[in-house]
Amino acid sequence: MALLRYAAADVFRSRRRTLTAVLGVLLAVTFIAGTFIAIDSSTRATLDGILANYPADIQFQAGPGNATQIREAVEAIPGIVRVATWRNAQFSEMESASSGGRTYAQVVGIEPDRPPSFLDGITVTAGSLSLPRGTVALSEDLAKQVNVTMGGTAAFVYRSYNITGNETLTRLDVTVGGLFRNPYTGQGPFYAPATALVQIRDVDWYEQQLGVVSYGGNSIGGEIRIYRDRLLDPYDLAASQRNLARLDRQIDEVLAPFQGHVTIDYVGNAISNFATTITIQRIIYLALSTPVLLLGVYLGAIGVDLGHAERRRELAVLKTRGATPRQLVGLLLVEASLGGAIAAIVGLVAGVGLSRLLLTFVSPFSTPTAPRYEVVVLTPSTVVIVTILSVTFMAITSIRSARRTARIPIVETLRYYAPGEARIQYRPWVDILLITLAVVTYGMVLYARTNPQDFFTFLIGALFFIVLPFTPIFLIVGTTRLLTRATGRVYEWTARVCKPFAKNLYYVISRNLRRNPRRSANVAVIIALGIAFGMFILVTFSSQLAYQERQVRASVGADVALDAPPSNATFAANLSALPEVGGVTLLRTVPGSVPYCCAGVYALDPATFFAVTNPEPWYFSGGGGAEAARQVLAIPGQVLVTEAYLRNAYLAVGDRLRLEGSVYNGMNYTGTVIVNTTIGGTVRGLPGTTYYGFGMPQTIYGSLDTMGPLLDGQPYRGYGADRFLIALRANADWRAAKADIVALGASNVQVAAEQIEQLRSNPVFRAFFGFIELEMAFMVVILTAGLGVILYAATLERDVELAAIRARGASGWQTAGLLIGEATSIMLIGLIVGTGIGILAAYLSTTFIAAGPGTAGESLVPVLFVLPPEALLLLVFAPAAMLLTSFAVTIRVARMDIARVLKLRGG
Amino acid sequence: MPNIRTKDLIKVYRTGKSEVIALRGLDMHVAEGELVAVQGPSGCGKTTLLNLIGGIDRPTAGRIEVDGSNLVDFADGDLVKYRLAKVGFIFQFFNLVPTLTAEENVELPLRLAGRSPSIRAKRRKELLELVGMTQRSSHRPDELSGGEQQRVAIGVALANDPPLLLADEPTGELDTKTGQEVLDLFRRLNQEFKKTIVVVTHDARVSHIAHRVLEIQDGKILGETAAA
Ligand SMILES: Nc1ncnc2c1ncn2[C@@H]1O[C@H](COP(=O)(O)OP(=O)(O)O)[C@@H](O)[C@H]1O
Ligand SMILES: [Mg+2]
Repeated sequence: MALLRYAAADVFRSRRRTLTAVLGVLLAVTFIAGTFIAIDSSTRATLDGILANYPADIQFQAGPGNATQIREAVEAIPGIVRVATWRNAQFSEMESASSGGRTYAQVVGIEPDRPPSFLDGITVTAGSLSLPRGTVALSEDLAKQVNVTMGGTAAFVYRSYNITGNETLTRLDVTVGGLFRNPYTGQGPFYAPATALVQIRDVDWYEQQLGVVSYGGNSIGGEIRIYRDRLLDPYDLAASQRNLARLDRQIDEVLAPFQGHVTIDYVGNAISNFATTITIQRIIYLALSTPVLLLGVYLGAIGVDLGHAERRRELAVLKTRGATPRQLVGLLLVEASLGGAIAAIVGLVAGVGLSRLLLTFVSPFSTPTAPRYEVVVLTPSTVVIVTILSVTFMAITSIRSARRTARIPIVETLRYYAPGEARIQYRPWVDILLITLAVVTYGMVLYARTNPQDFFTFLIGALFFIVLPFTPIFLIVGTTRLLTRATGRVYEWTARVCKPFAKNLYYVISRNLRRNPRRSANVAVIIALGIAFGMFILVTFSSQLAYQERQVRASVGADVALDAPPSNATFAANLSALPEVGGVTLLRTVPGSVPYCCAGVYALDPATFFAVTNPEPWYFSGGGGAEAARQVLAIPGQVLVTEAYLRNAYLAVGDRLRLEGSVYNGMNYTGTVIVNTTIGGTVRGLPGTTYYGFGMPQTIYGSLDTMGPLLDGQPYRGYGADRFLIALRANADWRAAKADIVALGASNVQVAAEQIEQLRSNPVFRAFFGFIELEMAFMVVILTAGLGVILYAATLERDVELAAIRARGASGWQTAGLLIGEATSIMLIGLIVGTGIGILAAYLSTTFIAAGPGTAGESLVPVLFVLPPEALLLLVFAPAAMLLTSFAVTIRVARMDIARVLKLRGG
Repeated sequence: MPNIRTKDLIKVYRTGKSEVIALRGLDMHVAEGELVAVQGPSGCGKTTLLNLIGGIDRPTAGRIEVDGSNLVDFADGDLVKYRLAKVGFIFQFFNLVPTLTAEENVELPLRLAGRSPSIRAKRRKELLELVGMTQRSSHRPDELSGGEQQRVAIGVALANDPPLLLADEPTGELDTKTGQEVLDLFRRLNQEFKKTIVVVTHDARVSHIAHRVLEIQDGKILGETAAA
């Protein structure tokens, strides 16, 4: 490589050109480096986040025995912070003098000063958990069922059977010394709301008092919390694994005399999967960064092309001295690789800064305490990956242009009197192909979606479904290039927009764009790509979020939904009287059988239902909307059915529907009741009567009056029979409302606002959305920097031309206006195409991706298209930033020293 | 109309540390309606002088009087107007806008001057006829030969009908025949259209058309020969 020194000299000496060539890749690589450094620096936080999902670090089990002794033995092992133990009692019923029967109760023994993780979130509402023998703490649910209060007396009941199957009951009176509200974590022994807590050391005693026939009793469960910081180092996984393995062994040794052993080593599992987790994390974020990468590479390609164009003359001189085209390509590629290496170094340094912004967004796990971030961690793998990416990107961006440049005939290059760009034939077929592919993909996915039965179409659909994510890119690149390079019309049109400030020179703008279309087209493509990506991602995100929120509202039905407590005659009145409540409607599930298979039946009050639920129009497909539905239900004997039911049961509006239910007298079946109804209309569904998920609900709705006979003859009405939907007052606080409603004794209280809040604060959602918003900001930076650099290089190249225009009497600002005009026209095209295609692609993809490849199709809740305010911000900020740069760049032209510029060529 | 007089004209170029004195107190005079040739060795300051007279650059010291007013006192905006209305510049390397056709190039100064479309169309036609480029009016510079490009450039220079034409080695890039054609055109412009013309050239034939030939050396007028 005799040309290596030449290459190095060129890269380092003409720094401006090197910057132009490298900038795109540099920005892309900076983003990746920043992301990776952020991932590396937040590894500890990520591990904490993963571990936060586990109830404890290590779980063990031991045979029945002295729990305190076991706990002390384990706690004596170095590296262990705390041990919690628990044990289920072997009796599980309670009663009291006023309870009128036994009720199920789960009795658990614990050490109150070392509560196990399943007690996290418990609230002791009265008394305490540290109770003497004979005194117990009850969950509020249990206390209600047993009908005792604080200080009252209840009894544990043990039921045993002898050989002949005869039941014996033994009782032990206990005092209620504490009340608590269950955390309902769904973990540990809390699978029932009715729980009693006692001291673990007393469990044996209670069992003896009740005469429990014991085979040694239930085993003891234990949880271990270790010194994580001492034993775990996320940056040295091998050492961590060794530490944990040794610890497990020590615990097993200590537990052996108690027939105990480690059951689950959560931390150990997490550590052994951690390397994979981190790798996957990197891959996911790399994938999420694709838009920035693509944009950077595209910008890089333009920058490189500009650099090569500037050097045509110089390269031609090399050729005249005997360099072969191969050597020239080699030279240019070596230069590109050198540039790539430089970009990698600069990118890593800049990435350190960027990583501080990204820290909170690279880990989709939330930690219970403030996340712990390292100052800056630069792992070898980050350096290697970034360098490889950088050099590869540079090589990719250079190869085409290098080949083309090296092939240009010498005379052509040395021609002095045509400083314009050597015209390159535009072949539209690639772009037409791209657009066609995109259209076909959408078509096929749509087709496969509407015809899911056929396996072949499913296959084809799936195939195109894979291409689906790329279709926006195809569309954007194809459309922009076609619009800008196949015809000059678009430029002419956008140049017209600059007429007001370019005045008489506007035609120069349009001519220049039209006759020098390649670079302009490339710039427009970058802008379009950036804007389109931004719009696409923002719109898709918002639409998905809105979709999920709509799902929540559909499933809850109104602001709040709740189950009434059983047999409480004043509940409805109390509910309506709450200050936060604006409206209440009763919704009842109707038991009984439906004539044609499979539909849920609901009874509701048409007068209040629609006012409280305020259903969106898409619940109703036919005309008339909510009012028509209300009118149907208001007619006694008329029901509404969902379209899915109508279709699947081969029914039509006007058909009769015979509903049948059983009638009970107290607990005893006394016969059946029949209600004859007519289908008065259809809906797609109604709020509060469906659950999450795809598919259309199959449901029958009637008014409470119509369904009355089916409801009246019901036996004991337990939880869930009466559901109330509530509309809150305009600015009522849902938290207060929820507390009040719970205080009235309601259960299964669902608050739409709360669920939506959870949806938004979901760590995965937060991390991704935060990351993508930052990425968007970065894309604006790339767009701005890109336009600035390209414009700058273009003004350099056109100095003579601009100086000549000025020599003929144009003022500095007129000439600058010319450049700004060109930039504006290009930006306008990019902006319009980008916005259009981005939104279109987002619309198509949202609709299709929501359905999946050839799935069962429609879901009740539609994915509606949402244009978020962030998108509009993008549309304002990106052009503003770009205009500002083009302005800054242009000032140079306004101040240019004409004599000097013209002298360069003037001899 | 223009009567050009320079007095003690000094131009010093500063590049980093070094200074180049391009003009060292140059005095000269060009009367209205004259066609004056300027000759001298390369680097003697010919282009510098033309740039100063043309209002493209400013002198370090001295005066440039055009019809009695001193260019040195002009504000930037006045210089722009001066260039637009009074001066037509013709360069050795033509300096046409590469993306515009011949007629669009010619039209550019007219647009800069804010002429109405009808005037522009009329003037464009006249100018192209004058320089003999009507046939090739819709060609772009890279589709024209050097001589053709220079003729278009002369058309551009004449667009706003400036009384003063400044030409910097206009035949330097042209072959003998096309060079002669350009010189003939200058003579015609001087005689028929009464343009005052200052032309820098090494071309010996210029002595046939010029009223006077100024000899510059080392930034000063060395002497003057009256010609034909
Ligand atoms: N922009 C400039 N910066 C520095 N030196 C310059 C510049 N322009 C011209 N010169 C110098 O000034 C002198 C006169 O230049 P110029 O007027 O272009 O000469 P001519 O046109 O007669 O060949 C030369 O020595 C040249 O090197
Ligand atoms: Mg010169």
